[in-house]
Amino acid sequence: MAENAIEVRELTKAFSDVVAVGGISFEVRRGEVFSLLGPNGAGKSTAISIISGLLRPDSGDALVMGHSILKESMAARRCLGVVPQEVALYSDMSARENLVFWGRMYGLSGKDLEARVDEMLAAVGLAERQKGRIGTFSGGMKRRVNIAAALLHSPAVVIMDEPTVGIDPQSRRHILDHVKELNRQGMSVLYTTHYMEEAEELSNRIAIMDKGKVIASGTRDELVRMVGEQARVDLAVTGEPDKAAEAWRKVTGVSRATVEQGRVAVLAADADAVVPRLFESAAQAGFHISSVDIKEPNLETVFLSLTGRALRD
Amino acid sequence: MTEVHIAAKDLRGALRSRYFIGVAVLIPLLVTSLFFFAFGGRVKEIGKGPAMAPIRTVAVNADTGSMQLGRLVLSALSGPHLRGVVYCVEVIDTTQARLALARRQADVAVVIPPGFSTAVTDSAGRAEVMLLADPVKTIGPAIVQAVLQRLLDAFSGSKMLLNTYSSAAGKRGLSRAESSRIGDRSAPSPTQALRGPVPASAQLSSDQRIIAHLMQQYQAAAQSGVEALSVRSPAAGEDLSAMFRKMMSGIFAGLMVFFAFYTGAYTALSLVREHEDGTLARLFTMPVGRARILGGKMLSVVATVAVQAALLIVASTFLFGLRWGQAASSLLALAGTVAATSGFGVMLASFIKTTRQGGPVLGGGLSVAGMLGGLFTQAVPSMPAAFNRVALCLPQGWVMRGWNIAISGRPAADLLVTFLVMFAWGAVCFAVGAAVFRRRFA
Ligand SMILES: Nc1ncnc2c1ncn2[C@@H]1O[C@H](COP(=O)(O)OP(=O)(O)OP(=O)(O)O)[C@@H](O)[C@H]1O
Ligand SMILES: [Mg+2]
Repeated sequence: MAENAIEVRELTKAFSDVVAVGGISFEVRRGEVFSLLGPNGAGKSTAISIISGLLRPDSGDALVMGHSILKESMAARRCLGVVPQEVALYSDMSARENLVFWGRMYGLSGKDLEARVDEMLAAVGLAERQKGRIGTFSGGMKRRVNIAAALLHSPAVVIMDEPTVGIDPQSRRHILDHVKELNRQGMSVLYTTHYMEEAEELSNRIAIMDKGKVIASGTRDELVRMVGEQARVDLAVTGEPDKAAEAWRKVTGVSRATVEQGRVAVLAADADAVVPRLFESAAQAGFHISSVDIKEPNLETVFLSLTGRALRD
Repeated sequence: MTEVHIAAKDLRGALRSRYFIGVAVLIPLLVTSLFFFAFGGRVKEIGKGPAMAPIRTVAVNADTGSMQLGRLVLSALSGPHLRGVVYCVEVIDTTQARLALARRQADVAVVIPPGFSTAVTDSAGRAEVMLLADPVKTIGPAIVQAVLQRLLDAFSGSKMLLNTYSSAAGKRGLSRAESSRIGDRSAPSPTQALRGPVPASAQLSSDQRIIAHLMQQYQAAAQSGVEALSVRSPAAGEDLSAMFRKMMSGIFAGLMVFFAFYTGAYTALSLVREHEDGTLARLFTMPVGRARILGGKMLSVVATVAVQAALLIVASTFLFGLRWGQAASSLLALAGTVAATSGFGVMLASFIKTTRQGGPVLGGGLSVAGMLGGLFTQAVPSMPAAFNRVALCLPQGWVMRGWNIAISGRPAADLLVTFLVMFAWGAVCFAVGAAVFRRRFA
């Protein structure tokens, strides 16, 4: 038995002059949820297309449950369920017909197939709408069927490429819970997203990708520790924010104070200790604080400090 | 099995699509029923058999030749095999004939010009018979024309040329009447570069021998006329409806072939559609080789076209009583149709980048190919030879030829070469299309 569900080794892929994936390596351990977190165009989908056998890498290899995607592609694919980023279903067919078809493609048939289809419809909460044509479904419903289609053959590993983009909160919640449930049942998951919150909620480990490279990886806490556990305090003030920032830079415990969009952003190692001092300083300088927002250190901060850019534009 | 599942999925999709039922199946049936109403408006009567009135024909024989070949032609029209179908009366001159047409006393007028006999026997001459018809009537004149053509065909021993002078007829004062000339192509003509073979006996100088030969030809023509006109029943009206059905079968086959080509290309285009929709990418992540997936998509095309053509043939047989010839022949034509249309469709679709450009490109391309392939001119009994030659440069022309052979009641053996050509067209186009698709997607 392979130790890792997925092992990615030095994968590269370029489209003419765009290097979409520039030599990435990571592994998804058995039984874990591993997230690839990165902004648009980071190369997440390209990496996933290579692992799922859609694209040939320019160099490097990937193993799925120990099977090389290049040398044993069929064996690798049998262990793998792929949820594509865009909904890939037949819109003129019903949810059930779609699942039956995709199940057949995975080699299921007869009673097994029907039973699996029933199970998956129930799992994604669409048993009652199974006869409805996909074309008539909402975005969230389509995405749920899109996921179900990848799980029919009970794969050991499932890859989900941004499965929650552009859908309603209810469907999103449903999907996140479903991923957790699959993981509880022992499925290994490679999950890509550019939503930090999703990566934090779901993952055992995370790799942050940018411009075709993995720039950091580890558990959430490891990543946060990497950049130092600085909390961010956002403050709105009456009066000129520039003057407030200037005053606060002198306050003990404040490592940085900048003005962003009319508010003052303060970085501090210990927010609880610093905030009362900020109020004192404001009172002395003769202005008031109208709101305070303390943000614990998170992946957003990590990405910001590693790249100097926000995760989302 | 993967291939079969993919094909089954596509076929089911096609059967449920508005295009397939609404366009590929209903339109040919609708157009055909329109034809039925147009030609005398008696679908039911024709369907039942003997109810069509005889074609009232007036004939003028101005032939002065000693051999009296004009009389021979006219006697064919009043011959026993046309009894009850054509009712022929001789009048003195063209004026009388036109008058009869104008008064609606006749449906069609046949004029044998002076010098007809000479023209037939003279290797440099050009024998012509003029046909005037009430433009409202279509089926009657078409039948008379077909009969005359057969005769002249036999006389010259070569293919006939029909020139329709509708516009010229107007200038000559043939108001409300349509005139056409049936010509003998063995003689040189200014518009015709090619010359049919001149029968060996026509070059002999002895009049007697020429007449003997022509009589022989006439006998043969009359016999084949009998064969063509009375397929099933001895009743006169039945003869007519059989002939009408045969003609309708040709028209319907043209429509069917056109839509089969369209369906072939349209179904093959679903590969491009699946590419756009991401389902092709999803298929490629399945534990199935890409060649098999593409194979499944190709099988979809074949299956869809086959079902469409079979549906149309069955429907037209039951709805309109159309005749498709001997079972083996029509099966062979059907197989050739499926091969040629799928192959051609796969090739066309492989050149199309997006489904958005697909519609117009397929529609335009297939309409032109259909026109050149003679799919829309089945009602015209005899097209210029150049046109027929162009048609045979296209798979459409060969498929149509296959159906025409089957409809004419000839055995499967007569269709074998045509079938092989259809099949070859399909195979070559298919190879090209599959190669292009493989380069694109596999
Ligand atoms: N088929 C292609 N042809 C050319 N360039 C491509 C192709 N696919 C991806 N790219 C380029 O490769 C880079 C990485 O794209 P990719 O889709 O992998 O990013 P992503 O991280 O999935 O982004 P998103 O979050 O927007 O889905 C981008 O610059 C993209 O434009
Ligand atoms: Mg992506």
